[in-house]
Amino acid sequence: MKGIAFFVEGATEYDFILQLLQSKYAFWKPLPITDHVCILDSTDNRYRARISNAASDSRVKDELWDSQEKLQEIGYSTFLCIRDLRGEWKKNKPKTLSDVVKIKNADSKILKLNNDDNLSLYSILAVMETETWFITETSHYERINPKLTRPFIEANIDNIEGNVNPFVCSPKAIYEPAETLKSIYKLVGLIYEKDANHRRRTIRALDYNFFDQRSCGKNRTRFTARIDSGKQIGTILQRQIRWPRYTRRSPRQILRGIN
Amino acid sequence: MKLKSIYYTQEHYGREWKICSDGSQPIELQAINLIVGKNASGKSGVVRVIRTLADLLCGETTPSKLLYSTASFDVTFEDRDKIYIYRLSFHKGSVVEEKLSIDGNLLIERTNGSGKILYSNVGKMIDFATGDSTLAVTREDTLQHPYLAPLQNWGKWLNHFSFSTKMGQNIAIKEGSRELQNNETISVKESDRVADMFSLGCAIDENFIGRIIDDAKAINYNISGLSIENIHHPVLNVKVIAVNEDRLAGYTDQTEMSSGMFRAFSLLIQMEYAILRKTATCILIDDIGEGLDYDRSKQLIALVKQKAEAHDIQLIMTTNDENIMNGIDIDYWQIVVREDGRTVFYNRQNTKELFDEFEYAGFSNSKFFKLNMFKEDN
Repeated sequence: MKGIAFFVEGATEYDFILQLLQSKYAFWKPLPITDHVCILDSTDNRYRARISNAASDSRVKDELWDSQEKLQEIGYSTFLCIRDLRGEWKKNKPKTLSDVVKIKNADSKILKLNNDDNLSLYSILAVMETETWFITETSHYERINPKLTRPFIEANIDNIEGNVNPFVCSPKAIYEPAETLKSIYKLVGLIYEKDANHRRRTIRALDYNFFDQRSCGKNRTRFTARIDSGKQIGTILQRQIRWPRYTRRSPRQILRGIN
Repeated sequence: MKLKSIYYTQEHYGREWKICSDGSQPIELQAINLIVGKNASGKSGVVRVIRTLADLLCGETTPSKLLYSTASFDVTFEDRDKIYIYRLSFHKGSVVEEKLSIDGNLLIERTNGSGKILYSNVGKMIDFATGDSTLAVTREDTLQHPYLAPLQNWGKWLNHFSFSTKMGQNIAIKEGSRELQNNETISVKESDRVADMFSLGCAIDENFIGRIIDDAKAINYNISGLSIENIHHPVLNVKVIAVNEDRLAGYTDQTEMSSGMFRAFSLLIQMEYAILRKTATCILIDDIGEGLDYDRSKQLIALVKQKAEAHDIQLIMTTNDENIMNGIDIDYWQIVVREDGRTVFYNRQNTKELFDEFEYAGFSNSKFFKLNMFKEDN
């Protein structure tokens, strides 16, 4: 059984990966190991995924680094860590797009510290927050509320944080994604806070086919910061593991979700 | 007054040991310093050297009394924009060279037992001859050598704690002591006399206890009172520090406290005492936080740092504890590594690029040390 281990910075990323694996790839329900770690197997028993929520930005890479050797011994060979650019970096200084090159350079150095060719290490950086991925998956709005149609949203851009038009904007241009998402839902009186019910409502409504539409390129880039709208995760998974996948699901199926 | 830089060498039974920055330069110290290193890397050695320097400057010891009696110090101090540069070299307990300049003006120049020293009132450098092991810098003459007082006071009032010791838990109040009877200041170097310092602090300032309680609460010890009580013992009649803990009836005397709790209290009492006496200039804390859990050690170090900054106290701490490393920004770090008979320091001043890079690595601070990311060739 081949293993892939995810190390994420918080509950939003944890739920997102969990739903991605269950919705798009055929994984069973998770087996919780602790409050922050769960394991789930593919329905054909060929793959095992482990998701670990570090619950702190600065612990994500630490946890990957500290547990990688032991996990490798039991069959894990692909490791992904996911954090966002807005998080708690050193000195409490939020990072911006201009810092991404420096983050990539730091990641390249870290790679050199562990140059095991049998490993695939990926560092995914959400710019600015994971909510960017949700904003850009625009088909989910109507599943959240049928009134949230494209014409309706575009007619109310002035009421959206940062005047972001989610249908045409560049993901990198969304400065405060969580606030923007909140303001989009607020157009129909819905609330989006960082509690379990709100984030899971969104996560269950997402179309996970959206997250692998772009090619990663031919270069085998390991442990390098990536910026995108969340599509790279799906692409990495596709390239790493030939998992059995569900066929495209209807919005109703997606809305129902697995949990 | 703050110790800005130090370069130290010693020779002992033919073995040389140096404290230096990479490239044999003096190490630069800041207002807040966390010396990080593995066991046997020289962390405690650095603290011992600074303590020795303090004892030498205030005349509490002489080169001939030192275990390492062949050594040399090159140090720089800063006091209200004045720069003091002091060099002291001694061989087998005898001074070989001693030199002091302030803002570039030479005030002491001495070779072996004789030299010249500035007499301020006369305005001249005048010859002197002294014992081989007596330092010129320890002369006390407010008329002729007033410029030496800041150095001597720095040495006199340096606080030195070793967090891995009892820190006075086994020492009761010395009720008949001279200091207590006459309200005299206890030397903060006598760090096992914390009970006496507490007693004096209470006698001098009615708010002393309240501040210690506030500090204790800041590091999550839920106490409602602090007092001096008789030890819980059927025969002994001695007075010690006692705390009233929430949800516990009666008081817990210092001998009953957990060692970690007492050490935290001891540090807070002694810091507050030094602040109260207006004597705090530099505090050395070896193995800070040892024996405390993660949250409390983090809270303690934050509190100590905050107090040091508020009262302009230089703080020099050592640790090899990951929790402590993660609790303090790497800007304050001095990483020590033992290399070829030298204890070499890596800090933001001499390794700026790697310190800057680490800001983007996304690791917690302890990984910077553990993975040797402060070295180019790691």
